[in-house]
Amino acid sequence: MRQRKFISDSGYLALRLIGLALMPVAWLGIKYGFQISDRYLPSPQTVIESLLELDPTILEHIAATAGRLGIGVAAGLVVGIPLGAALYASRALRETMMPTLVSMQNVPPLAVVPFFILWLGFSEVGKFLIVFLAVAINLAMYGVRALAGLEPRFRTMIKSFKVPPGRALRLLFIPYVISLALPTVRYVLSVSVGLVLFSELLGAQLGLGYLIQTARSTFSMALIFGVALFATFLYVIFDLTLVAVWRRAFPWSVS
Amino acid sequence: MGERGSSSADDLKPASDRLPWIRASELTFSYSGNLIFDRLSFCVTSPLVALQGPSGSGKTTLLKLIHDDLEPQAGSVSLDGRTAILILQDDSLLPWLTGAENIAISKSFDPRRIHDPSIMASSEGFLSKRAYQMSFGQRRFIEIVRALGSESEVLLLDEPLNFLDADRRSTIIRELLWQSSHRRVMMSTHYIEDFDGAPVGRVQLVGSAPFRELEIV
Repeated sequence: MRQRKFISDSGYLALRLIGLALMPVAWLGIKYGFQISDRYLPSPQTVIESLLELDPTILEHIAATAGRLGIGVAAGLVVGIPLGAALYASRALRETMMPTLVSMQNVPPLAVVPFFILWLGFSEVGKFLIVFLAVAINLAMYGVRALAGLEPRFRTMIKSFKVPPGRALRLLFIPYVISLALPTVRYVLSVSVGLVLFSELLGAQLGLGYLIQTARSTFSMALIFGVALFATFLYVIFDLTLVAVWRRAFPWSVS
Repeated sequence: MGERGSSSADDLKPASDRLPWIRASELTFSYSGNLIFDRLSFCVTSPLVALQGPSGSGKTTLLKLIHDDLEPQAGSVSLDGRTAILILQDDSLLPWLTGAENIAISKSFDPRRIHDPSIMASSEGFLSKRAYQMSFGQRRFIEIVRALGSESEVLLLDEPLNFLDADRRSTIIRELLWQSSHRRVMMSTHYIEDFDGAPVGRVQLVGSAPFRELEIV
């Protein structure tokens, strides 16, 4: 017998819309209920106006941040996952590289941003490199840990059929890490958004982080609000795209 | 996958009968503090052996010890240097590969090693499917096919007939009987009655752990 639903599908849709509306309603409620000035809590209209006045436009700033984030994360994924698998497969590689990777992973990523800005100036290379290293190192370390827990049935299979290490790396280790890596990839994506914004805040002339820095120096609370909203949207869009692409490209993935 | 007609059939020489091919001496193994085998000694001579015992008694553990996947705390068990393939109950097909690609993981796979041509023919239908899209029975069948067609002197099979339908089960049983004239086979199975009087030796784990001796028929 089918169980009776307490809330219909349309009821859940209504609840979802209410959930989405909660934040803007709270914003407007606090703003107008407590008569808070635009200096501390801008109205939505002020935020939109401040964004429209920008030159270069907000879209150009978003594109700059998205480009740095996208290229850095993509490069980090392409290098980090195979590197983790290779570290697991080769003891020689592990002994050589792990001490450096472990020590680098223990340094808070934000703490190294100023070094990159000082070494590489305002160039794009520094900003890509910051994101790339954060993603690649975290994923490589994750890969080693994931493969250390490789299910015994796969070890038995490799041994039984005498699968050579290179083949095991390509056919088993790399896809195995991919199949489990999505939560870690989403985590490093969120870290990367913070890193890109912070690196732009310290040294850039275009990008959402740069806008926050400019708005802070001119006390433009409306612009800070607007940029924060766009940074959130940017992260959500990247995250949703990543999940969708992952599920489509790796449908066997358990995560 | 190996090409038909391209590989030698060196490993298809008849297995010499009645010489011990598994030797265990004072084998002692415990897992998570539970002693499973206590100074167990035995020899297996029959080329086709069914390993029997209640669920959870240690059949898989014994197969893993024979395959050298587990290390005994004391004593030894050996195949006297013979090469072996172990197929566990948990399927080891890679979900991201097709059936054909999973079979091709075994570089030594050659369909000529499989006596019954209907076995390869009946797997044709799902060789192009990825493993995660196959049913349990299809995955099990591909795993058994891969083992049957691969080079090794010994096959160690943990419940090889599980999840197979009646037709495939009887086909695999016939094939195992044929294979046992060319290489040694040990399998744990709950389908021993399906072998219908065929010459199958039996190694029985009697009672409960720790096992000090096995009943060998």
